[in-house]
Amino acid sequence: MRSLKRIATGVLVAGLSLGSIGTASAQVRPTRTPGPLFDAAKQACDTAVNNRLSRITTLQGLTRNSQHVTADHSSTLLSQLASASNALSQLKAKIDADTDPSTLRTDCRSIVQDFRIYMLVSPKVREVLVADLETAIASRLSTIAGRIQTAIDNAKAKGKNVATAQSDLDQMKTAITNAQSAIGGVASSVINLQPSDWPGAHDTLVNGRQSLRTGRDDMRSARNDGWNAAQALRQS
Amino acid sequence: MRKALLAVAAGALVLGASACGHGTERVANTSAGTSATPAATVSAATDTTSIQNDLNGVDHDLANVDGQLNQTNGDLANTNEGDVQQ
Repeated sequence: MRSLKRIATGVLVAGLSLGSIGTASAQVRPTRTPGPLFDAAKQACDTAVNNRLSRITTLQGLTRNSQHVTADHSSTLLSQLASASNALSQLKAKIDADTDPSTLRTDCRSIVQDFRIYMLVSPKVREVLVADLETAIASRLSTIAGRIQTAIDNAKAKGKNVATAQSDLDQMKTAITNAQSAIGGVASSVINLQPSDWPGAHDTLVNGRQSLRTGRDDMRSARNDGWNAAQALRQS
Repeated sequence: MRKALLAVAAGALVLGASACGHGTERVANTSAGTSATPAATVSAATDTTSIQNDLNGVDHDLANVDGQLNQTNGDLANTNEGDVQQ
């Protein structure tokens, strides 16, 4: 029982900030000799780094495979991701070499505070990619709207009643404009967010996501308006 | 015999002209000698069908947007950094 108490005390003293170990706010005693708990903490930190490196690899793949990301955005994102990957790898090497709880605790905190891979980098990359994708979709819808207008004009010249089709098309054009307005500026507002911008960056990312949702909804409306216009034209 | 050859030649010219054409022009050429009404009807239907096919492609892209935004929801829910408590 006494030995159990000693172990529990050791955990609190080490205060390695790991859920598997114990309270994060405990005082660190740097002179304490590292033991199995220290090694376990180090292993947990290694795993945390590896998981983030894996996420970075996923984000790099998404960026490289995106068909609509602009060259500038792709270059910036891939550069940021490579830097984060290198720095995390260096941090992992440092963690592996750590010999005292205090340093290990600081390094483990750094995994989150100095990188914010899950909460900042990941949504940032996705929002930039989605913004560019939505921009491309809006452009595609504009092209389709132009074709519908041509078809309406041709039908009108032949004496067809195109009032309904024109009304639907006008709604489509308005929805596209609204979407472009919502999407514009999202990528530039998030792409240079850094971990040091946290926690304010969270609100910027949430606002960006909301704008992208609005843009998506507007384009879905535009798509339906275009469909109705084509249908009305066919029946005119 | 001569009339038959001329008829074949004329037929070949018509076929060649319609083969070289495309879109609504091809429909117009083909129907010019047989019926005047179907050309515009077929053309409009072809246009609107093509437009609606393109709009279906937009659906696919928007579904991709949905997927990415759902992933972002998870990121911003702030559930994944918990593997290292602060």
